[in-house]
Amino acid sequence: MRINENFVLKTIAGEAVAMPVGEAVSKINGMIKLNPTAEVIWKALEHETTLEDVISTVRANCQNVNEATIIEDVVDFTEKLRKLGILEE
Amino acid sequence: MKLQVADLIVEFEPKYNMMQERIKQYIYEGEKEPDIVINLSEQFFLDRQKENPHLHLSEVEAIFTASYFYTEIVKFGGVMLHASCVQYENYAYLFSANSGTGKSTHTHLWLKKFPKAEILNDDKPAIRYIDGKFYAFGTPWSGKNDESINAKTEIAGITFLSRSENNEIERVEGNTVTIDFLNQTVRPSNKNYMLQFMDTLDKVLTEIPIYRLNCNMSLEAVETSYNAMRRR
Amino acid sequence: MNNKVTMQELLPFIEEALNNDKTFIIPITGTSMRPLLIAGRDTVTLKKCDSKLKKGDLPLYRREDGTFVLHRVVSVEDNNTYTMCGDNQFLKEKGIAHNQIIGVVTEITRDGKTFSVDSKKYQRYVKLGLLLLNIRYPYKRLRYLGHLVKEKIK
Repeated sequence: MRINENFVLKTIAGEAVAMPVGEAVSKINGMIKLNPTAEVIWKALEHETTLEDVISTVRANCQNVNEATIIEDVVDFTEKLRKLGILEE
Repeated sequence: MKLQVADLIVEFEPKYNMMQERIKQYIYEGEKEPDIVINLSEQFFLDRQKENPHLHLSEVEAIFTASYFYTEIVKFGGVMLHASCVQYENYAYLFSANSGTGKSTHTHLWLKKFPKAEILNDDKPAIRYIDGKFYAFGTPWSGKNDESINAKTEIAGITFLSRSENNEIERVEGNTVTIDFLNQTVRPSNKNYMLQFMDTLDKVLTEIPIYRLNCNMSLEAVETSYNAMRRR
Repeated sequence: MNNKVTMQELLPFIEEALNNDKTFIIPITGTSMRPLLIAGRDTVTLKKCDSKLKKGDLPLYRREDGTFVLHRVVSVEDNNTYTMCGDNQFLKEKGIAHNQIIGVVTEITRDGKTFSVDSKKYQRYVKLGLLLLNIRYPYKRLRYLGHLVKEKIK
């Protein structure tokens, strides 16, 4: 699975923001602000990857978060992105 | 015909009289090659008119050439902001809001209070980052014919305006207005342009003082905004 | 490039025309002025309105939330605000101030035919509509509630 290539992630005034381009504009006519954990997950999904790999990446980048929370956050967020049509198999 | 707009050379030959009038103060007679070429065909305008049949071709040309220009300036570290921009004491003050909220009313009150103030662009100032500073520019696409000056003025601040009974202004963090800004600009749909656009937006919201103003349509409102925003 | 021009983009052109005593034609969107005005088919001509509006006038105005609306003045209140209602609606909108008014309709182009708002036929339509407004409300409400009940029963 990976994020549709028609999204651009950049930091704007200290916050991670994802914007749609091309065909994605008809899906999401707006912007998405990502908190630090969501940003890590999004970046991990920018290349073809698996749920397990994403969880490892988050674990490596977010110290002091317990395992159950990490898994829950990753599963929740990837599900949201899938529903919005942003995450593709 | 070549124009100089926002410190860029623009190749543009308007077909209809609204833009033919409005480009007059921007004509460039020098030797530089164009940075931007506006080359929309008559068929393009006719097609757009079919989709918006209540508009004259003159208005169609004004609207769609504006869209094209403001998309292209992204390549040059520029963005458009839907705002009324007043210049005074060598600084530009931008007031942004949805149409009809009162940004133009507010800047015209500045003209009343400060006789030396002028409207740089009443509807769509171009913003560009040049040599470490942000400048606002008049353009031929300013909404109203006589309210644009072919000038380049350093920006003192950008304010997002709402109407209210009392006048109050506060300086805010750039990221609290990201959505407001995105709603008042031209967003590119091409990936490379978008990368550059977001870079410029990041700089704008980090380096330019940003404010939120709640105001009524009185002269006191001008004191409120001017006192908070002026560069000392 | 987005091909349908938004009211936000049009507004400076509208204001410039109106301030120079010219008229401006706008298209109809939405269903709130049916059956008189149909979206996609009809247009109206706007003119500046300096003087107070009267009952029956059809202004374009801006709501506090920034949206633009073309509805009819159904009454002018004592505090000088207007109460508006679409011809196809039953809920009235109160408290519209004169400075929210952008322009008022002087001509209607309906299904290809253009007529002035001063025309006798149109004035009769307006008078009848205003009379029926107080009946329209309970009737439409009844229909609306009937609808809700049908949905529930399903």
